[in-house]
Amino acid sequence: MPITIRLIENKDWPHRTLYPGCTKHIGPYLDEHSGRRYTGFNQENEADRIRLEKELHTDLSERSEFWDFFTIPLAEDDLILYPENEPQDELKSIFMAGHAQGCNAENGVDPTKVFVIIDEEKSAEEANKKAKLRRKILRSVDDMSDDDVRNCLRLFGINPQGVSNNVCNHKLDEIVEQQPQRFNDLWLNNPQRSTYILFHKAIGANLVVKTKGVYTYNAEVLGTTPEQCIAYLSSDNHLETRQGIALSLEGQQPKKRNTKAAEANAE
Amino acid sequence: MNNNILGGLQIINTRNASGLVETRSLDHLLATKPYEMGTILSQIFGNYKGEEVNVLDAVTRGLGRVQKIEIDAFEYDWGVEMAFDESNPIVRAEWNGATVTSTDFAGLNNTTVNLYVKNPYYGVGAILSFDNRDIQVRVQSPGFQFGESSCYSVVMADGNPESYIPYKYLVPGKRVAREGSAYEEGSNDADILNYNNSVKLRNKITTSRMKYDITRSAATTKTIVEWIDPKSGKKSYFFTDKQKWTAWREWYRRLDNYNVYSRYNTRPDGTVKVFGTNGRPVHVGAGLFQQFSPANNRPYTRMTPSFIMDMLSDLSYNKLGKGERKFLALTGEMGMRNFSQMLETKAANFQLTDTVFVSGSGQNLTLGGQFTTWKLYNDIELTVAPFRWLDDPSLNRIMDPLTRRPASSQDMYFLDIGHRDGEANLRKIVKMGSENLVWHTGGSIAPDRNTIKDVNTLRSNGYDGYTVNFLTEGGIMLADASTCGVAKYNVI
Repeated sequence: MPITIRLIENKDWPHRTLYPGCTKHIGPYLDEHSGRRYTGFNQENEADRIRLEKELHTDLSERSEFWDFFTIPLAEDDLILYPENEPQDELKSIFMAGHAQGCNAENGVDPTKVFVIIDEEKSAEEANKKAKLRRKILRSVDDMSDDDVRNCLRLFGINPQGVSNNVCNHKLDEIVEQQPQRFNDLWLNNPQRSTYILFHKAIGANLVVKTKGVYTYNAEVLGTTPEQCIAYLSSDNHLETRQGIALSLEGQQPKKRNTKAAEANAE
Repeated sequence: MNNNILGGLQIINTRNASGLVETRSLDHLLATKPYEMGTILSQIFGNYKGEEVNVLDAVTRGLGRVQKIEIDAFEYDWGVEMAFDESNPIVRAEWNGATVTSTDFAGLNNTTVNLYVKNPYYGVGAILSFDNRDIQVRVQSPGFQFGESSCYSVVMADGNPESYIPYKYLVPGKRVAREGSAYEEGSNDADILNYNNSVKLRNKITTSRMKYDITRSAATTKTIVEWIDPKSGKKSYFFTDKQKWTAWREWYRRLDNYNVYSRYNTRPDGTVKVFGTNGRPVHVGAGLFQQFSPANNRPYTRMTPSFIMDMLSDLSYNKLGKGERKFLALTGEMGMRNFSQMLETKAANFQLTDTVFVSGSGQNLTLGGQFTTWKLYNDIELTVAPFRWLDDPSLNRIMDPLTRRPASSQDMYFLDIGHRDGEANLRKIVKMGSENLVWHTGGSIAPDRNTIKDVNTLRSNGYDGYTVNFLTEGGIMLADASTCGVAKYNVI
C-alpha cells in the first residue's frame, strides 16, 4: 500500500501552505539534549538499516555524510511513497515515520507538526485495535457491580465516598470514553488490582497517611509513591501489613442501616 | 550590502554644551527635515558601534525603501505575480464517453479526448504537452466550467491516427502545459494570455509606542553624534540629551525586532480578538519571519558548500534572471563563523598565492580574514550579514547541543533585496504622517528649556523632569517571498 505525505495546511497568515514554486524540505535534526542526529534508525530497526545499506550501497549510520545532504522535498502536491517496491521509498518512509515534525492518524496534529503521514493500511490496523479494545471494555463495564464501579473510580484518583451511584456510573462512562487504554491497563489487565483498591481505600479511610512525601501505615513506611506502596504491599514479605490494612478497613465499615426501623420512624 | 553609508561615525557624551546651536538639535532637525533625519537615524542605528544592529531598518528605510500608505488605512494589500504559464493539473480525462482507464488508447484515430484541468488557462488552438513533451494535443473548443475544473476537447496535434495519449500521462494529478498555438488560414480564434496574480496578500500596520522619563539633572548631559558623508566628505553633527539618545536607540531596536517577529492577529473573518484598555481592537501585522514561513525552507545539520548551492538553487532556479541572483543572507554570529569556515575549507584545496590572509611584516605578522561573500555558478552571489536578533540567548532558548549557543544563531534567512517592477522587494510600510511621532509632557523641565521659576508657567504634572512619548504606525513588506527562504539549523 502506498504512503502519502502531505504538508499540513497553514492556518496563520497568509493562509497558504507554500508560495507557488516554493519547497519545504524535511531533513535530519539534532536532538537538543543528546546532540544525536535523527536518521529514522534506532536499535529496534537496526536490521532494516543494514539491509537498506546493502540495497542502496550507502552508509546510513548516524555520522555518515549521507545525512548532511539528505532531505525530502515537499511541495503543495502530495508525496506518494511505495515502500514495498522501492528501497529509496522505504528509506524515506522510515525516516518520515518517526520524525518529530510528522504526525499520523494516531498521534494527531499539534503546532509543532509540519506534515502528516497517511498510511491507510496502518491506520486501519490501529483503528481495528482500538475498536476491539473498546468492545472489550464495554462488555466488561456492563458486568461491573456498583462496588466495582466505585473501586474502579478509586484507581483513577476519584474518591467515590458520598457520591450517588448515578454520578459514579457517569464518571466511569467518561473515563471509558476518554481513556480506554488506561482503563484497560488499570482495571482489566491489572494483576495487582486488588492491592491498588486496598491502598486507595486505606488512604480514603485515613489508615495510610502521607507525611512529608512518605506513605506510612501505623508508622510503617510503605514508600514515597503509590506505585512503590503497591509493590511493597504486593510482596509476600509484607503479607501481614496487607492483612492488617484489610482487617482495619473491615472494622471501619459502617453498620448497615436498619431500613425497617427507619421507615417506622418516618411514619 | 553597503556597510559604509556613513563614514567616521563618532558619538561623544559631554556636559559642555558650548558651541552647540539650536538648529543642530535632534528635535529641531526631526521637525524641519523629518525624511532626511529618519534615514540618517536608520543608518546610524544600523551601524552603531560598527555592528549592524538594526540591519532590517538599515536596508529598508536606511536606503530610502519606504512606502507610505493613506492616513485612514490600517491595512495594505498587493498581488504577487508568479509564473505566467504554470503547468495545470489534470483532474480527469474522458474518451469515448467514459473515464480513461489503463486499457484505453485515448485519442487513437484522431478522436477527441475531453480533458478536465484545474485552471481555465487555454483558448482554442493552444498546443498542450504532457509530462512527455513529445506527446502534444491541440485544444479544439473553448473550455467550459465543469464543477471545480475546466473541460477542453483536445485531439492529437500530430494528426497521426496511430498516436494516442498513454494512460500514465492522464492520471489525475499529472499536468499539462502550453507549448504554443496553431491555426488554420482565416481563423477567428486565438489563444489567451493569463495575467496570473497567483497570490494576493494583505497585511496590517502595527501601532507601536514607548515612553520614557528624563529627570531634571539628567537632561543636562548632551550626546553629540558626528559623521562624515562619504560622497561629499563633509562633516555633520547633531546633538541631543544623552538619555534621549539612549531612548531613540532603544526605540529603533524595538521597532526593528518587532518588524521581524510580530505575528498577524486578525482572524480570517476580519475580526480582532485582542482589545486595548479603552476597548478598541489592537491590530498586529505579520512580521518578516511570518511572511517567510510559506517560502522555501531547507533544514541542515552541517553547513557545506553543496548545501548552500542547493539552497540558492531553490531560490533562483527558473525564477530569477542571471542579473538578479544577488542574495543577502541574514544570520547570527555562529552562522557567520560557519560560512567563513566552510569557504576556508573550500579554499584550502586551491593553490593560492596569498596576498590577503597574511599581512604585515617582521614581528607584526597578521593571519586571517573573514569570508562574507561567495560568487557561485550562473551569476549567483551570496553575501552574509550579521543579524543580532538570532544571537540573543534570552529570546532564543533552543540551544545547539554542540556549542550550547542558541541554535537560531546558525539559521540563515535568504533575502531577495532586489526590485520588482521598479519597487523594492523588501520595504518598510508607514502610515502617512504617523512615523516616529514624538511628543512630551512637561514637569519641572521641558526639552531644550531651562527650569521654570515663574509660577504662571503651566506644566502638565508635578514630575521633576519630563516624559517623552514615541509612536509609529508601520510594518514591513516582503513583496515576493518566493525567491526568499530559510536555511534552518535543525535542532528539535
